[in-house]
Amino acid sequence: MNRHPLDPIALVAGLVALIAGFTGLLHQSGAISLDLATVVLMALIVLGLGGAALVVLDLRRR
Amino acid sequence: MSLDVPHVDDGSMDAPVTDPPDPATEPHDPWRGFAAWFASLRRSTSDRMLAGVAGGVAQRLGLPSTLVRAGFVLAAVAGVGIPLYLLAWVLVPDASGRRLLGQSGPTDLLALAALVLAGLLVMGQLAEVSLLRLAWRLVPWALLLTGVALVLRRRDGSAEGSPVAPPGPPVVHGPPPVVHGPPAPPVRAPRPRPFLGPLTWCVVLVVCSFLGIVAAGGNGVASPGVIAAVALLLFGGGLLLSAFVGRARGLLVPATILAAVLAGLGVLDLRADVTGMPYDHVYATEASLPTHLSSAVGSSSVDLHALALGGDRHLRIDQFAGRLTIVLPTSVDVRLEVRTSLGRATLQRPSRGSTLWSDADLARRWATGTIPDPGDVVDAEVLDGGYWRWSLMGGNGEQLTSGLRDRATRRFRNGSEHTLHLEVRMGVGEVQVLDPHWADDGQRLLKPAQLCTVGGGPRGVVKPCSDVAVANRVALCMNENGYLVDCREDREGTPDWPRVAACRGFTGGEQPCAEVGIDPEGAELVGPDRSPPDPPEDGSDGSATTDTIAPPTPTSVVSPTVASTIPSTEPSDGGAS
Repeated sequence: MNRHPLDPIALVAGLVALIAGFTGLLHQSGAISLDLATVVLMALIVLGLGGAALVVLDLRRR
Repeated sequence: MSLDVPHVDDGSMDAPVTDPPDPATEPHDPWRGFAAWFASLRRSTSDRMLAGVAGGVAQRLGLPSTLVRAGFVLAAVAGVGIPLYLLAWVLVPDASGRRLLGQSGPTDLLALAALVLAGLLVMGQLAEVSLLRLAWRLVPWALLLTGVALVLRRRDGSAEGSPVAPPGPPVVHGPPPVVHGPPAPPVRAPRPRPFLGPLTWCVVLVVCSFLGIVAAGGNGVASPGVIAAVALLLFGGGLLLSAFVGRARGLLVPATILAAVLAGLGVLDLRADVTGMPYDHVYATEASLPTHLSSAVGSSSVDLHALALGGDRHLRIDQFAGRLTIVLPTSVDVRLEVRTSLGRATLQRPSRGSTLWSDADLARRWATGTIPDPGDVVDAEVLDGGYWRWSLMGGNGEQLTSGLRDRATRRFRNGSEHTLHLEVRMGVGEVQVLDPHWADDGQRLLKPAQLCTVGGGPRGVVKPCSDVAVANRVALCMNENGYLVDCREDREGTPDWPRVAACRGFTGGEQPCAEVGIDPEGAELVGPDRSPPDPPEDGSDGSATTDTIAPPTPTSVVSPTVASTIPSTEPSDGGAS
C-alpha cells in the first residue's frame, strides 16, 4: 500500500461505523436492548466524539 | 469446478484463448486428457441452434450435430441436459476464443443468470422445494457468485467491458525516433485505479452472502439484522483503512445508510431475527404444536381453533413485518401477550355485523365456537322480539395495541384446565387475533331442524326438506324462543350471517313459528339446561344439504338471565393492559 496522508474524515467515519456496527450486532443478536433514548444518547456521544476527533486531527494537521 | 483452460496471460479474463494443446502430445492422464479435450472445445458459430454447444461438440467428436443434439435432448429429459448446456454455454469459448463470461457487464449478468438457472435446475432435481423458497435461497448464492466474479476480475486487473487487447506490433528496440515540433504538454501519469473501495464492497458481498446462505438454511444466528451489522462493521473497517491508504470515502454512503437502518431498529428495539417465509399453519394436536414460529415478511396465519392440550404450553410467534392472523383455540384457555413495535394488534370475533371471512372454508373452520365466556360479557339488553344482545368486551374489532412499541395482554377462558401461553411479537405490521366465539349474537344456535326453505333468505318458505330441491335447500336452526334462524354457511360478501331466515312469512314481521303456523318438525331445541347436542348430521339423511354447514354446537351456553346480571363493567381478568 502506498503511503497516503491521513484522511481524518475517513478515520472518524470508520471508527463511528465500527462502533455503530458493533452496537448493532449486539442488539440484533439479542445481547442488549435498545430504545429511543439509548439510541439518541449513543448517537450523540459517538457523533460528538467523532466531531471532536475531527477537530483535534485537523488542528494537528495544521 | 476447476478447469485447466489455458489462455493468454495478459491479465484479462476476456482474452482470446490460445490454440488448444494437442492431446496426442500430452502424457496419458485421464483427467488431463479430458481437461485438454475440454479446453479444445469450441462453440460452433456456423452450426448452431442456440449457443452452438451441440455443434461444437459434434465438430470436436466428428459426429453429426443432430446426433449430439438428440443426446442433449435425452439428457434434458433425464434432468441434467439443460444445466450441462448452460454450463457449457458459459464456460466454453466460441470459435474466436471468447467466453461468455468476462465480456461486459450485461453479458456477465446473463452468464451468471445462466449459472444460477443451472443451479436451480440441479437443485430442483434434488429436492421438491417451492420456487419461492428456492428463489429466496438462490439470492445469496447469486450475490456470492457476483462477489467472487468481481474479486476475480479485480485481481486480474481487467476493466469491466474492456476489449481484448490484440497482439501488439513487435517491439522495436533502439533509440526513439526524433520528433520535431513544439514540445507536447506534460502528460499526467494515469491515476491508479482505486482498489480499497471495490475490495471492501467485494468482501462485504462475499461475507454477507455467506451469512445469507446460512440464514436461508434456517440458522437463527445469521439473521438479516446481524448481517446488516456485520456489513456495517466491514464498511467501517474499510473506511478506517482508507484513512491511511485513501480513496475509499465512498464507503461513507452505505455505512451511513446501514447505520441509520440499524439505529431505526434500535429505536424500536426491533430485531430482524427471523428468517422464515410466510406460512399458513393449522395446529390441532399438542405434539404438532411448536414452541416458536417466525417469519420475515408477508402474510402468515396460525390456526389453533381445533387445538387440544394435555398440559400448559408456550408458543412464541415472531414476525418482522407484514400481517399475522391468529385463530385462537376454542377448547383451551389462552393467555395472549401481544407486542407490536410499529403497528397494531386487533381482536375480532365472528359477528353478524362484521365479516371476518371471505370464503366458506374459512367460515367452516371458524364457526365452531359457542356463546362467549361470561367473563367477556359486559352488558346485556333485550331487543324487540325477545332477542338478547350481549355486549362483549372485544366483541368486534377491539384494538389491542397501537402506536409505537405497544403491549397488551388478554386472557381467554374456555373452561379448560390447561393454558396456552401465546406470545406474539410483530415488528412492523398488523396482528389480527380471531376468537372463534360469537361476538354479538345473543341467539342460541341450535341443532339443525329437519326443515328447509325454498330459496332461503328471510322470506323463504319453510317446507319439509323432501319437498325442496337439493340445490335450493337451506338448513334451519331454531333458537330457544322458537324462532328459526338460517344456519347455513356464509356466502361470500354476506355480512349478516347467520341471519334470521324463517318464521317471518312474507309480511316480514318476526313471529314465533307457532303463530305463523309452521311446525318445526324435527327441530330439536337445545336449552341451557341440556347437554351439548351431538354433532350435526351430514347430508346423508336428506335433511342437510351440501351447501349447508353444521351450526356452532354450544358447549358452555350462558342463559340470558345470568348474562343480564353481569355488571356492565370490564371484568377483572381481561382487557388490554
